[in-house]
Amino acid sequence: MKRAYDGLSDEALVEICNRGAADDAAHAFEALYRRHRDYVLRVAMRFVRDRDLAYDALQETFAYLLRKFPPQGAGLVLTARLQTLLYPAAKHCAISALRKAGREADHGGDDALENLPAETADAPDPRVIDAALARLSAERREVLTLRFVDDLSLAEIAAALGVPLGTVKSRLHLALKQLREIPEIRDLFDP
Amino acid sequence: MSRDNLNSNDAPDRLPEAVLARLEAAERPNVRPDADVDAAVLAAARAYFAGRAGSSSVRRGASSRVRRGARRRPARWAAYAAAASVVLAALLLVRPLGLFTTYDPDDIDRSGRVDILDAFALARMRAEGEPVAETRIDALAARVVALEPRSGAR
Repeated sequence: MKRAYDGLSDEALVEICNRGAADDAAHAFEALYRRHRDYVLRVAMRFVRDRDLAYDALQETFAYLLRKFPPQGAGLVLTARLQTLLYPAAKHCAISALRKAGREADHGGDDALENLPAETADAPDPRVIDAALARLSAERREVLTLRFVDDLSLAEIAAALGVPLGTVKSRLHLALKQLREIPEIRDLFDP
Repeated sequence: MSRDNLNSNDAPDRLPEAVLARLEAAERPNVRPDADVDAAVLAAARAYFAGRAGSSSVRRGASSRVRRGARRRPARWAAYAAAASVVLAALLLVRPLGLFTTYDPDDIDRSGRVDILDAFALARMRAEGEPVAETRIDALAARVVALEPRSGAR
């Protein structure tokens, strides 16, 4: 029985959660949870860098999703991939969990470009790339991550972040431009 | 992953392999799921949905309450049974007059439309031991998928 749910699209599972009988809805929600759990956990971890806080954010995120469905919620209709709904929820829950723990969000390291190891002839030291990425603003890095790591389209990123499509394009363009202009990694972009 | 699979209308740029690898290393942390967290989330979901019609837990709860009440007030159940008999008789009388709605054979839950819930109703019947062929469930699921348009606005 559960295998049948696993084969359904997110849209179908959401529809069962909206209108199905209790047992069907619970099974459908479980399928959604198992399908998207790792993504939500990963997104939460990006912000909290702490496994226990990430688990808290995971639970809060799916509690938020649950409340979208009746009896409390009016129901959910997907216009885009479910990730575009889960990403902002997971981010918000993660930052909230951090605040409760009395910490600040970590956007991926703060290594400076100073004191970097020398570039080799073949490829730059990974730490050089890490430092270059760390120079990006949180907004630019976030768009870069959603595009290239999470594989979201620009429209989906705009939906996930709640910003205009033009803003996403601009941030992505500027992020790539900024990386290209760093001498230590410029050759990677123009081999 | 998205090293080269970018839609040209979407993003003309690509990220060099080495940069993407470092970005993934930082932004794709390997966090193992936790069984206790899974259990908590899924228990919350079951409890949340339990108030809906069709919940086996609700049905079980209701029936146990009925049994307790029945010992105290047997006469009430006799009245219910009598009323049900009257309704059933009325329905049997009306049926020859053609007043019953005709349903699609695949409209298992008699909702007036054939949708994914019918496929699951059928699957549930099979899971509960009724003689429903798996091929029929598959055929209904395929029909539903063909019928149902993609969702609209959120």
